[in-house]
Amino acid sequence: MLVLTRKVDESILVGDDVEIIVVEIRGDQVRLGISAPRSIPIYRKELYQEVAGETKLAARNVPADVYAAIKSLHRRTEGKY
Amino acid sequence: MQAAEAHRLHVLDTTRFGRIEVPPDSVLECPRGLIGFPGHRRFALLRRPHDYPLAWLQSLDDPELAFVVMDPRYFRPQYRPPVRAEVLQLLGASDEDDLEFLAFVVVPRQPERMSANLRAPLVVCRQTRRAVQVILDDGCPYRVRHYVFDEMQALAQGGECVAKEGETIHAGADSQGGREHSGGG
Repeated sequence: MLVLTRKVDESILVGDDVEIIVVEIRGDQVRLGISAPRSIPIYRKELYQEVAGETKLAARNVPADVYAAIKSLHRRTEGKY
Repeated sequence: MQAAEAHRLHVLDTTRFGRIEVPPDSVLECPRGLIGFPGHRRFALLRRPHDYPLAWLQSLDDPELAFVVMDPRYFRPQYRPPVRAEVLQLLGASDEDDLEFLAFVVVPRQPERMSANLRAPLVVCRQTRRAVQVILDDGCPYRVRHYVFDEMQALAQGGECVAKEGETIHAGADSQGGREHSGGG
């Protein structure tokens, strides 16, 4: 991993298309500006990891038989519409 | 894909379903894979009537990998999150009307705790059969876990589930009568 030290208003270029700028430093928080092509998605890491975790859970947590779940759902919704 | 190949049914030996025939029009191409599964690019969306409202997303790259998915509109009829122009472009969609949304569903041993991820739906273009999983912006009212049964109950009572993460689900605040309910654990 490359570790760089930056001051406010200094920036980092990643490849030809991505720029990361230190916008503000306040206490223990750093505000970063990210300039990238709109085709590149940008996420807070913990959100990305939460989604990845949930998707993996969806792949793992599949009972052999989902019909119990479906029957339960139908029973719950019967007569309600 | 060559014309001859396009009409050939894809046959796959899956862990879950055994040997299945995959109709070409059920195949989805995910140029970015899925979040957590970036290398998995091709899936079959299997909608079998007796599975409704659930459907299966079976990986064509790994016969052991399959997901339960569902259309969030089953319990959130208004679900139509904004989609960026770049996503439309990636999917080759002319506009948002070409899009369908699928939520990944976690099915625990207790069916009542089934949850759907409305924060990061799979966005599918009907025409091109291309799809990408998108994480919706922070401002949206959706979470990674919506408990389907609680949502169905709220919907039936004319409200909407507005609970925050970890809170007990109550019926929507603007339903007529405003009866207080404590939701299930």
